[in-house]
Amino acid sequence: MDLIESFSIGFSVILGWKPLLIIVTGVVFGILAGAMPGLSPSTAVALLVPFSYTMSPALALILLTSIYIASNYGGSITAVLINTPGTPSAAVTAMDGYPLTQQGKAGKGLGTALVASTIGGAVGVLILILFAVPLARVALKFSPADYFALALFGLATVASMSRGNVLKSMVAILFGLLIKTIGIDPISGVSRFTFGNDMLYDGFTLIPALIGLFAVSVVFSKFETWTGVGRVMDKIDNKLPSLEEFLKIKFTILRSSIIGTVIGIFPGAGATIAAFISYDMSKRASKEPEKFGHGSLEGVAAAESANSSSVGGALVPLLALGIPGSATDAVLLGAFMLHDLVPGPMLFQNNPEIVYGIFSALIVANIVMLFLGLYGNRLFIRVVSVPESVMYPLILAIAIIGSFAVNGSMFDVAACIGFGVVGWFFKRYGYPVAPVVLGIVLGKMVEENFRRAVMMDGYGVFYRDKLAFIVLLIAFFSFVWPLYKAWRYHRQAAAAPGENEAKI
Amino acid sequence: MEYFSEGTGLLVWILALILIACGIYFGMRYSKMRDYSGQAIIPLIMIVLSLVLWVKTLGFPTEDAGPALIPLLWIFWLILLSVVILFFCFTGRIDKDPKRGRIFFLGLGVGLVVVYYFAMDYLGYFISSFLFLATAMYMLSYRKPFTILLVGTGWVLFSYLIFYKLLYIQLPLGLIEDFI
Repeated sequence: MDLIESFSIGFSVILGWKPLLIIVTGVVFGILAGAMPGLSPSTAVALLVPFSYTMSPALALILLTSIYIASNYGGSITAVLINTPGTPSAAVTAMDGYPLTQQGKAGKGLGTALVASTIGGAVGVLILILFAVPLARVALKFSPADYFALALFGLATVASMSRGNVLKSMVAILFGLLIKTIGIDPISGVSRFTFGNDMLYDGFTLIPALIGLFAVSVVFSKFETWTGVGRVMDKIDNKLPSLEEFLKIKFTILRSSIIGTVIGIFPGAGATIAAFISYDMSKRASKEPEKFGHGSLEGVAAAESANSSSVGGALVPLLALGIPGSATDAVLLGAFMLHDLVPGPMLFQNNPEIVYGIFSALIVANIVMLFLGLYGNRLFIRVVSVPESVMYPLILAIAIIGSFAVNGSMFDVAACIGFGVVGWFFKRYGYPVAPVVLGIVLGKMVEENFRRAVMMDGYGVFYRDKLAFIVLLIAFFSFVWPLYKAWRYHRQAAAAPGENEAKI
Repeated sequence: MEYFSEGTGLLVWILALILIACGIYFGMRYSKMRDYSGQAIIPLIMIVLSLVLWVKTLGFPTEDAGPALIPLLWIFWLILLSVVILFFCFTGRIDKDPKRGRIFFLGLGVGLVVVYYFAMDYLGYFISSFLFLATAMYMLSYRKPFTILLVGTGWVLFSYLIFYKLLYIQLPLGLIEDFI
């Protein structure tokens, strides 16, 4: 099936009032959720998964990917207006966006963020299509040993690239992997770690665990630091940047979009790292580097185009190999599973309408986002101004009903609350929660492929299979390298006491 | 060791591990290492969890690439890395504990969610959700009764129409079972 034929199938899925309405709904919700500080794209997608149960798989995934792409732009709204990034990656946008607001040029900041996000998103989707399709064809030949190695590589890079320290990220991943071993063993049928509880025979249900770790934990953390002081939004001017100003930053947008997509492809790198790196590179390449940090449109464009384009990049390993590249991808993987779909090369063969439907929806969602951003920003700002004392109870209510709706089980609700407490505890002591989720999501893939490979060819398969061996070697070094760097840092700090405090 | 993998033996094993972990934690809390005692909680919990699950694997069938293989692999690494972090806690080479936040307020919040959970069985989803939203908003210092009423009622209507009517989710009805 050629690309044009595949896209005609994809567009046939999204052309119609229902899919278009779903895309618009997803974009609106994504922008609003992204704009609310504390709600990350992964939280936004996790909260909306329960609403997609009765939709067809294609429509459900179109809704969730539309939220994903729009929430990255939404994060820039509060970053520009009140210096409070709605998403972690928008922290880079705030560095130049908020000074623009202080100078009375908020409209220019928001306009630049919107156009850069749209172009970045489009470039990301284009590269996604170019990379994912051939990669999926190659992946058809992968053996269980290769899949095991790739999944382990994904987990190792997530640990090594995560903010905070590598040891804590590894503990978080291992905790997730261990949680995933609870229930009936997928190969031998032996019941593991269920302690006689029937509800645990299938292990913890993924979606309540995700909602607990991503959404409920945010509310609990907020409770702990509750001050009762709400956000204050000033009135903003609505003057967009001129065409001349846009033309000045066109290369910055293009360069940052490509950087963002490429970084997004690496599991664990994500939108925040993409935004920081492209901001830094744009500053180095700029004719006016001194303006960065003081309201530079280039700075806003670099950060926004990179974080939006990383969405397309992060979807490459998810769709082609079934390995999530980011926390939001892990939630999307959960949504795929909920609809009895397994992302990976077979998805391209068996369900092309889903894959190309997602590609087409991402293109349309970008265009919808541009129009909604141009004409709806004032409305979004009003909605985002909803007091936190109203928003957080509502998030909890959505989380509870969402967890219940998966299986109609109160045990899932209890699990969601329990994972919320675990997530709060992890965050409090600097353990990231995204690796826990990735561990849970990839646990089955790692275990099944490892044991199948061993049962078929013995333990030697991991060095006889060249691809598996090389990938495992890279995974090993990507895990060990940051540990080695941390050890060297400790030694240098110990040699020169007082200059640097040696902390892990 | 298999005695500890089931029944009373398992209970004794779990209690002993918890006691040792608490001993280490409180030992740190009342010593020079008090600033790092909080950081020790997660590695201690991970070690206890790993050892409890390890003892359970002793009852699994022993076969090549069997059901115990992968859990044992994760348990080994989890214990190893937790011990390393614990060592950093003992030597002070880790970030100090975060400042104590409003733990009581957090406890109230979590308690409210737990009460909401149990109330769903007795009062039903819709009544308990309304009460939960109103109480939570009030707890978070929101003092506009009309808005509280509007948000609570709005959410109940929304969840009834979307989840109960459209998605056919059998939400617990509790007291209003005879009316719907």
